[in-house]
Amino acid sequence: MKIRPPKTAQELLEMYYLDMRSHLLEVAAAFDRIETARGKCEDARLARLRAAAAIAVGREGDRARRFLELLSVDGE
Amino acid sequence: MRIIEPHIHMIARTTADYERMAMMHTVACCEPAFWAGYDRTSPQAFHDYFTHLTEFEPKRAAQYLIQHYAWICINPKEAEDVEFSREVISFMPEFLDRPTVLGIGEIGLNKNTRNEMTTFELQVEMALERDLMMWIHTPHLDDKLKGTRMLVDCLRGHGRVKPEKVCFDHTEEHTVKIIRDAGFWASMTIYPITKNSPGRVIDTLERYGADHMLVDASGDWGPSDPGTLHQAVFEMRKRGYADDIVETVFYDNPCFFLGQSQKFKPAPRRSRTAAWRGGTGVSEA
Repeated sequence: MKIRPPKTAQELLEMYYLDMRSHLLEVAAAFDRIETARGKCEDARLARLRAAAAIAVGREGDRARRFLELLSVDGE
Repeated sequence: MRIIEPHIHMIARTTADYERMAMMHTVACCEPAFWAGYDRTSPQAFHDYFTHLTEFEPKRAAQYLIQHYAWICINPKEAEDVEFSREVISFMPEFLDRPTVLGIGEIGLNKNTRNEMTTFELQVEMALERDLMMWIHTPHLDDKLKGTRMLVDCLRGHGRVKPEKVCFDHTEEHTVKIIRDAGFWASMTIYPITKNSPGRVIDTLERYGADHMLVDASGDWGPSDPGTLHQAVFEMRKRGYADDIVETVFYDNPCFFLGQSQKFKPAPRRSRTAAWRGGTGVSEA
C-alpha cells in the first residue's frame, strides 16, 4: 500500500525548518561542550558522529538508513 | 478514530496511563513479556509475571474500556542461560492457552549470542507446534542491524515459519526493508531518544508503504511514553493525510496482524484487500 505525501517540498520545509535548525544547533553545541570541557576526549564515537553528521547534511538521499548503518556494529 | 497499541508494558505504567490512553481513543493494547530491569532470580518469578500479565492487567485495562492482550516468552535479555530458559519454557503452555494470550513474544536477540539464539529457536519451535504468532524483539542501537539479519536468516531458513504470522519490532530505516522483503510484518517503536521519532515513522511509511506495518510506543519503565503513539497519529494528520488512511495504519493494520489469533476481538473496518488498495494518502477533507 503506497502512500504519497500530500504536502509539497516547500510546505514540508515550512513545517520542519525550526525542528531542523534546533536539532543541528544542539549537535553543534554538544561538540563545543565536549571540546571545551576539562581533559581530552579522543573517543572513537566522536569521529563516527562526525561522519554521521556528514551523511545527515550531505546531498545524497536515503540519509537515515545510511546514518544508522554507519553506526551499526557490522556497518563499520 | 480508534487506536490499537500493539506493544506496551503496562506492568511498568501507572493506571493514569490507562486513563490517558483511553481518552486518546485506544481500544486495545498488547503486552509482550520482557525484561523487568533486573534479572529474575528463579523461573518461578516468570510464573508470577505471566500470571500478572494474564490476570491482573486485563482487569486493570477493562476499567478504562481497553482490551488487554499478552504475549508470553522468556525475553532475549534473560535468555543467555539456556537451562534456566528451558525451565521457563516448560511451563509456558499453561499460559499460552489462556484467553488473552496471542502468541510467543517478545523473543529475539539482545547481544546476538549463540545462547540467545538457542533460546530463541526453542521458542520458535513451541510457536510452530502450537500454530501461534510470534512477536520478535530486535536488538537495540548498534547491535540492531546484525541481530535483525541473524533473526531473519534463522526464520527464513527454517522452512516451516509462515512470515505472515511473525512481526519484527523496534525496526528502523536500516532494518525495515530486510524484514519486509522476507514477507514478515514490521513494527516501529517510538521512543524519545533511542528508537524512532513520530516524524521518522511516517517517513518510513511513505518510503516503504503502509501495508504489513505497525507502530507502537513500547512504553515501559525507561524513557518512553504511551502518548508517542498518538504523536505519530497527529504527525500523520499534520502532513495532510486523510483520517481514513491514518486509521488504516493505527487501527486496521493491528487488527489484520493480531486478528490472526481468534482470541483477538477488535475487528477491522474493512477487508485487508480493500484497506490496502491504491491509497494515495491525499486528504479528501
